[in-house]
Amino acid sequence: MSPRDVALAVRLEAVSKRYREVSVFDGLDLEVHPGEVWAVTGANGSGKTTLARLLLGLERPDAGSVWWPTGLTRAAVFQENRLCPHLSAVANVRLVLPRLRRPAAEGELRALGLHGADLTRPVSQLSGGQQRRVALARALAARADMVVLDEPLTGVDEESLPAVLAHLRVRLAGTMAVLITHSNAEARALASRSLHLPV
Amino acid sequence: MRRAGVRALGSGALAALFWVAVWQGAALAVGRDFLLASPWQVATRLVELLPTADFWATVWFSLARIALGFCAAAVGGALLAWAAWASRWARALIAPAIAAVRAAPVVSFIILLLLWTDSSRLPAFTSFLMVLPVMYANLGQGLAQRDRSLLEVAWVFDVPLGRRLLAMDIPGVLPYLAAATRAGVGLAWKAGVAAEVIGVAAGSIGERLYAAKLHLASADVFAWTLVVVALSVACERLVLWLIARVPCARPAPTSADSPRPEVAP
Repeated sequence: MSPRDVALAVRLEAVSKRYREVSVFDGLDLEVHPGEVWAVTGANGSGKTTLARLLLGLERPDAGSVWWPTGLTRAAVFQENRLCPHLSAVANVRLVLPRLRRPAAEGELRALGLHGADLTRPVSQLSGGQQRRVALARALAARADMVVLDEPLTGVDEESLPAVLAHLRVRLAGTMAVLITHSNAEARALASRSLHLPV
Repeated sequence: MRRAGVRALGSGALAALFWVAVWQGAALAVGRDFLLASPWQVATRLVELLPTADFWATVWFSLARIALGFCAAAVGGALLAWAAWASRWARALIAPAIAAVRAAPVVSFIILLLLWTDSSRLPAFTSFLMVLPVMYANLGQGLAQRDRSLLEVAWVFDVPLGRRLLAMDIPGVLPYLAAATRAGVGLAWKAGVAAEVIGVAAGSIGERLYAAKLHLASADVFAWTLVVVALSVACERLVLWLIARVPCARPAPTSADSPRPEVAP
């Protein structure tokens, strides 16, 4: 590992996090380097989503520290889709990525299996799996330095899954990514490193 | 839908006719038009007033000042609500002042303002003071009720502030601005005209009402009151119409680079 790679890494050092009396982590260390895709697995309540929020800077650790490289750009698929229901798939992607041209947004959505009217009608009229793919397209289209994916394939139907996985593999190549998942198959398909969080 | 609208309009017209009939009956029973003018006398007076330049100058005088007070309260209320939302110290400073303005009798402000400034400025200041707490409370609630999950998305994706304001903050707050407008416009007119009457602001609707009282001209009182009600309703409708046309307030295409609608009708 070169010093440059270490400088570009996102690091959690001896991080502890509690919610009232419940300790989620105690002294957790993690380094995510460019080009690494980490799969974070664990049972419900093990703190997977808390870890995602710490990596995104949405939570502060009670002890320890989280380090991000200067100028790091981030993108995420959250546990919920977090879309504007009255806007179309394209509009939702471009809402947070205003510099992204419309054809590029459409291309990202098409690569995840959304076509035709599905691109232009309000996302509230799309199925849960389609909405999930819109959230995924938004995160991937950002071309961010770090992508955090919290159960990104929830609700995606079996038929679309191989194509979505293939596109994810292409997009995550070379980035730092953290994949929160319950599925060992997803972890094996996408990740190069893994972390299991005990309850 | 259209039939239901026509039915509602018809029942509204019937209710209005009923109350006009009650008014006419009361006027006949009193029998003294200086105490209670009949609807016909009021309508006649309005028809006399409407074509005169003096009438429109009076309407403009009050409208300009009360609208100025309302708009200043909307801007001031928004800024104070934002400051209170952003900083608990600011909230601790602002909250008691707003509570005092809300609780104090309007006439106390009018008298103080008469001591400090001339009567032509009274309606604007009074409307401002009456509407400010309404705007502050509603817009503060709107800021607090914004979709936090979307704000987190904006933060993670580093969405530029202007974009975030247009796409997430303002649409979240606009329904609360509409509610504040519904409450505030009527309040602005009531308080503004009351201030004009007390301060006898030259050239104002309040001055006309005061003159009508001096001359025992109840037809004039009713005519000018109807004018104030009409102006208040018109102002409320106009502001709500403008709010509904803010591009980010409703589903709308996000760019002009495609002729295709982004939202189904």
